[in-house]
Amino acid sequence: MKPAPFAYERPSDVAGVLALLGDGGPQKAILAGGQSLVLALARRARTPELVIDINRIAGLDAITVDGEGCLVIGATARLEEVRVHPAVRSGWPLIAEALGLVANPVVRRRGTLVGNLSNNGPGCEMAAVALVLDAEFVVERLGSDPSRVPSAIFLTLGGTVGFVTAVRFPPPSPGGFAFVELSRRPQHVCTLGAAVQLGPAGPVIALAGFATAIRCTAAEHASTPEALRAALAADLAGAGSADTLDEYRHDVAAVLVGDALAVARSRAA
Amino acid sequence: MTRPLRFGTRTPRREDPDLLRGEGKFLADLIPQGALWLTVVRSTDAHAIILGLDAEAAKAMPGVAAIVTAADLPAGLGHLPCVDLIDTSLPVFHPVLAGERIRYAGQPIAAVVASTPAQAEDAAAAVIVATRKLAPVLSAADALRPESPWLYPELGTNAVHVTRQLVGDPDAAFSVAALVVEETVAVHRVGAAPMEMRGCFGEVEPGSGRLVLTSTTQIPQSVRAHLAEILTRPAESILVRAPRLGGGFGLKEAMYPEEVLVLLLAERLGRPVAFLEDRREHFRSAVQAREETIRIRAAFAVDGTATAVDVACLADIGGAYGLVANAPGAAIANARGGYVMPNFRSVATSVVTNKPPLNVYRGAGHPQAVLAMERVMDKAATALGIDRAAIRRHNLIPAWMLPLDRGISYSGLPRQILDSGDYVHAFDMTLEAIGYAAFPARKAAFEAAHPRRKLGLGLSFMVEMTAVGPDEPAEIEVLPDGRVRLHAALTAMGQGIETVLGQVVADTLGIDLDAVEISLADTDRIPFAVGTYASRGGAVGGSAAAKAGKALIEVATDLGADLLGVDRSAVEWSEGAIVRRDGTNEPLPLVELARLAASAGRADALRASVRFAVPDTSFAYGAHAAIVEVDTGTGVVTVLDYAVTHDCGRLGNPMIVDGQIVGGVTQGIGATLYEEIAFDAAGRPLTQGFFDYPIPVAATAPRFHLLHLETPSPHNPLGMKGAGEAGFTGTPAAITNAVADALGQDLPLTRDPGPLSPARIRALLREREVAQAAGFSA
Amino acid sequence: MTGVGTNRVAIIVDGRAVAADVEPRTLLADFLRDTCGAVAVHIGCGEGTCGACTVALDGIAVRSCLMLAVQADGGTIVTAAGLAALDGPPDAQNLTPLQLAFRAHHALQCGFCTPGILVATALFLRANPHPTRAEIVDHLSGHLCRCTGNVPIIAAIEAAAGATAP
Repeated sequence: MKPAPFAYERPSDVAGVLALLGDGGPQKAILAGGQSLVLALARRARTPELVIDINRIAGLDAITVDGEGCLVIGATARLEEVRVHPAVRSGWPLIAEALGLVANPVVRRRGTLVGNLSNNGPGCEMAAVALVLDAEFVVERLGSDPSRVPSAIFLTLGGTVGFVTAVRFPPPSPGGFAFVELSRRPQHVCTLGAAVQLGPAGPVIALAGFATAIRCTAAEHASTPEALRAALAADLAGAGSADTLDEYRHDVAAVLVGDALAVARSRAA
Repeated sequence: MTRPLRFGTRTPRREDPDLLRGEGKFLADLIPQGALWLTVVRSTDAHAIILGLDAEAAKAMPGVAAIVTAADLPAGLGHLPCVDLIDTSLPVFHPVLAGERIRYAGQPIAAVVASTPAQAEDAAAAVIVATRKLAPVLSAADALRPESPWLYPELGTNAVHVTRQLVGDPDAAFSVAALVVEETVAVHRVGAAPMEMRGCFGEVEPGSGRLVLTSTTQIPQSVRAHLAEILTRPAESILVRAPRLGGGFGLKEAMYPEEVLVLLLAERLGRPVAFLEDRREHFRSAVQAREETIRIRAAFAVDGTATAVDVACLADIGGAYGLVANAPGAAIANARGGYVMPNFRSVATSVVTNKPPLNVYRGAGHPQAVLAMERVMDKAATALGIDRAAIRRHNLIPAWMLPLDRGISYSGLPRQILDSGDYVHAFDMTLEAIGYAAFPARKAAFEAAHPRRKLGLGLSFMVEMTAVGPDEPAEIEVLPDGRVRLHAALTAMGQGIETVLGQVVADTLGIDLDAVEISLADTDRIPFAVGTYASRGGAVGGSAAAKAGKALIEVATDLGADLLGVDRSAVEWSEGAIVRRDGTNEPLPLVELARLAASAGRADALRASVRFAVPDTSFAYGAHAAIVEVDTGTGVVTVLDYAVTHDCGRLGNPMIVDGQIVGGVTQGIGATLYEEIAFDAAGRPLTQGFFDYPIPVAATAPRFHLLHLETPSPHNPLGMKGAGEAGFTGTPAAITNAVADALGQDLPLTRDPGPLSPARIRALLREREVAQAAGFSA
Repeated sequence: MTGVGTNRVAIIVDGRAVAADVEPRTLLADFLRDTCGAVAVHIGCGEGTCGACTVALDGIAVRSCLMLAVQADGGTIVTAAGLAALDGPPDAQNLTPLQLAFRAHHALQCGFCTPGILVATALFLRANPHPTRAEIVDHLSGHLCRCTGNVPIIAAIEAAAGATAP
């Protein structure tokens, strides 16, 4: 469990990252929080030639609400800093609630939200939150203007799209919310997580735990437990993962979403 | 006024200050500067023939000092040992490096030595192994199918070790039984997973040329003896030391290939060679535990009297013997536990499969045997309409019947003479502690308020062999400053042995605890001993320490009389000093005695060497009870309350015993609900680390209710029995029974292997729903 | 592969300045143990799950197995050996109040996981001097202990903090 050799650069601005990153590819790795990358390096699951450390780029750790009322979280903002941020807790409490279930407090102090979503590993809670809140990702590439990539696309591409400088959440829709999850053991990796945000048009629902997070649009229109079960069966048709728990996920999805809706509605009341 | 005794008090641990300051001196902290680093190339196939091995490119890589394969090992090098084989056992020994055939994914194939661990890993990744894959055998049941391949074709079978027991006439009892209960109990594979992984380093002692192994082992003296056989050299030329271990739990009561390799390579390369396991490697190269399927039948009379038990255990031992072959057989022979059950038959069969070797882990085979028996008790109670507690009380061995010879015997197994205790009393105490009488009301109120959730209460009773012999050595000496040093053969691994031995020596000599030093696990000092396992350290190590203390009093008093020029009968030992019986002089304290002895050239007289012979095994016992909550919608099981009444004889340090019980129960909770070492269809391990192996955390801790009885063991002067394994041993049964109570005794919780995970609970509930919908009765 | 070079890493560990040239691939945990002699840093998993290697880097708890040494350049590190820098003053045995609470509650057995728990807990109690039991349990989600059953660790932290009810 020692990494293979690599070179290390620590650019001081975004332009420096872009110059080093070039066309990207598996030979280059961006090091933000490192809570997934360093393990992948140690296990030699990733063997890049160059590791680009972005931790000392000024301003990249900002958590701000911009002029359009969007929450903008920079690439080196730590998970725990996001979780306890007053603007997040008041305007986007679903983010804070889900973050409380991500990894553990020590890893959250180092890991970043952008990195967490770029990796989108098994059971990535925040991927479901990003879908529910319609987040978009600010991506920079050498020689072009920054682009904004919607979650639905970004989560399938991950960090390969370029240098993700921030994730952006649209202005909040006030309403009840909930994130609940199941795991093999309390406080362990998420087996299945349900994110629910109530809005003017009804609930928005996504599930984490399958190979990628899944927005459950049919379930959003279900009005009875029976309808919810049928709708989720449609939403999750064909969904799978790399482990042996898919049958369980399909089985309990309706119960978990039902629980999340109940919590969200109790908060809306 | 006499000095208050330390024994029996919650004396704070002497180990703690160093450990709390991070000065614990674990193995990794002791590796000498300039050591070379060993990395082991391991098989990625579960079952294969090695066709060729190319290490040429790897040998040329930076920092590489040597790459060794089976072909490069010395001719005549032995295999890893197994200590408890019987005449009919077949030879399935673990080689140091795989030569021709690979029998599990993770098996060592080559040793790479380089200047740094990273360079060794670089080179290991460049070693090319060509194999021809064979069909893997991945369960004991598969291994016995006629069409299955044999792991050792020359043997013509995969069943390699069989032991049997017969007591009374079980067939006659079954033929007249009012009720016969049958149950299958499949137990999955888990690991002890101590927080400190395995490690070792080898050196050649300058001058003497002795090989010196420092290893994370619970059994340094045994390792030395085995090394002498494997390396075919005199034991006197080998030294083994064990530093403090970061947890052992039986995983370090084994012999590992790396312990041989670091010595061979240190000798060959003339430099120390070190090995530190990593966590991914740990889950494929450290011994694993528990995997067995037990089929149990029990005969009951209509009043609930269990008249006979017939039990068969099929153990999946992996690709070769671990150090201990007979843990399943020994435990299954004890399957009756604390119940009378006069007629008994058992057979235990060990089967080789393409998985890492199985060995002992806290409780060895006992937790599985207890689980099987306790499921039967619940099933019988249900069938006969008798209360679960009542049927157990009815069958427990009454105190007047002890000691009771169970009639079990075979080679290598201690006689089973249940020595002492009051089983029924302990059981009643646990019923009280868990709130058995009030539970139906608690359950009804809870379930009325939570329609999806069920409460269940589970009971179990365990009896286990502890404080086993044959004997235990100790040496004691007075240091020039008057302090006393005890040398024990035992290994410190978190069980507080330094504190308990210190308490015993301080009490025996009547001196301060601070005046006692403890030195452990160095074969240069004590070459012959059996090791630290089977809950024996405190009881037999403590007894040896007490004996050493008494021997020291004798020699010190002799010497004191001599040096004072008085008759021996005129002086005696009192409170760490020599005093005249007539009270005419000031006491001669140890420090003065040491000084006088030194100036008289007789310092060597102030020491003693003893061996405490263990007359017989002490049987500790305990009554466990658990209350669980099960969410039938999600399958999540939560342990709410856990009660244990345990009797391990006299408590040397109640704080430490409580810690052993709580820690053991917690590991039992982990194994029952969360943990499993799993393999894919090709036999490759799916368990890479703690991400895939969730052990208990603070959030999973139940409310504990701990009680003790202190029936002295008749087999040692301190009256102690062992406590190290008791917590685990009763837990799988209590929790499984609690889940069965919550969800229905008909749910086949133990039919298939695997923890009672949310996914398994849901699968079982769905299966029952489908069956009921199809019109099958539950 | 060639040309990866080495990087200068200068850090302060438990009050002592250490500087060395290391390969970029060197993990902080290995640098602390092998180059700085900080043996209180224990490696129990190398994957960030067990927490035994937790140290304070510039006042924040980090997994030293999940950082490169070069990332810590210029930083100040505290391990369990220097716990007094994070906790109250030590007694004559050089044990801080938190360490004494662990001893009094038998919150360690083999002691291998303990240094990481102590460092993380000292920082936790600085930020939250009077945690609830639920908060302590959540805090401990990042730490694995195989010996104690965790209950005594909760009790020791409650005692050290004078904790409030959940």
